[in-house]
Amino acid sequence: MSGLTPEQLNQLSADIESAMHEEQTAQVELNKLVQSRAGYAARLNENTMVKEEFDLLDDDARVFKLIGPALVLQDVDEAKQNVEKRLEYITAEMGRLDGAITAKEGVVQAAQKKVAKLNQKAYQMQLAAQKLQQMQNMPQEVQQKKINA
Amino acid sequence: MAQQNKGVDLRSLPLDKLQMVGKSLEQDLENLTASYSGLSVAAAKFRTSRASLEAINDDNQGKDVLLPLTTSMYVPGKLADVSKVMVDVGTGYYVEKSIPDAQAFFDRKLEFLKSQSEAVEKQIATKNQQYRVLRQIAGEAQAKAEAEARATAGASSSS
Repeated sequence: MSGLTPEQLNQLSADIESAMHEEQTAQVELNKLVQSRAGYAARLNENTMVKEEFDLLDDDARVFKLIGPALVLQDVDEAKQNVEKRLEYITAEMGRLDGAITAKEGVVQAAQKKVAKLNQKAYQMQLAAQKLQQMQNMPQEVQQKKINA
Repeated sequence: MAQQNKGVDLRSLPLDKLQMVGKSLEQDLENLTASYSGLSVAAAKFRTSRASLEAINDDNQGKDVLLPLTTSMYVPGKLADVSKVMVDVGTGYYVEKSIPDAQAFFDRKLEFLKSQSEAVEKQIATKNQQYRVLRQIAGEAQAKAEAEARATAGASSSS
């Protein structure tokens, strides 16, 4: 029960390689999602602070928006609504990304498990082959030729 | 990621896992240090702005100033209105504020940054502590692994 024909060996190492590739791809995608979530978190922070400032304003306050090189007078209520809307949008996006991140983490973990399982299988096959070698008690070079053949 | 190691006895982890935890701690420390210096830079800006407000008073009404159009080019001007300033509140919005209101604004921002900096400082201290402990345990594990490797090498060569 060596289980180590050259075909099987090749198949196994190909499987391991593709599983590792899968894991890496998922990891890269996960990192991208986490990065974009961090971007939204930063925007959420800034917009929250702007909202806090707007909430402190007097009724007669004058609010401007920097558009290109010019400060343009804004309607205060409109500006407040704008920030409010942006906060809603950002929060929704972050919720969506949180879901996507959890899902992707699941994919990464599944891929990691698959790699570990295949590595385990390879290790066991190696052990079995070694036992077989010892039982047959052949010189090393002959063994090697047999395996490589 | 790093929170996990609070529940696990680090001594029970193999060397490569320890190194992984160490890497993630290093990364965390780097990020925290970067955000700490970012907060310091922001606080310095607010402090400068707040200090500049001191010059906007009735005594200086109508006085000549040089306005920086860029960091290297100035045009002459006069302080026409010393009662109001325009304050950047973020995301491109500016609010017209009286001098006391502007001062209150910068004080608010500085207070906020101070509390953030203190929180980050605490986190840095905790992570540093964790990192020191980890380094020590990793060092012990390394020494142990090397001793074992020597022992097996000695055993196989003598057989």
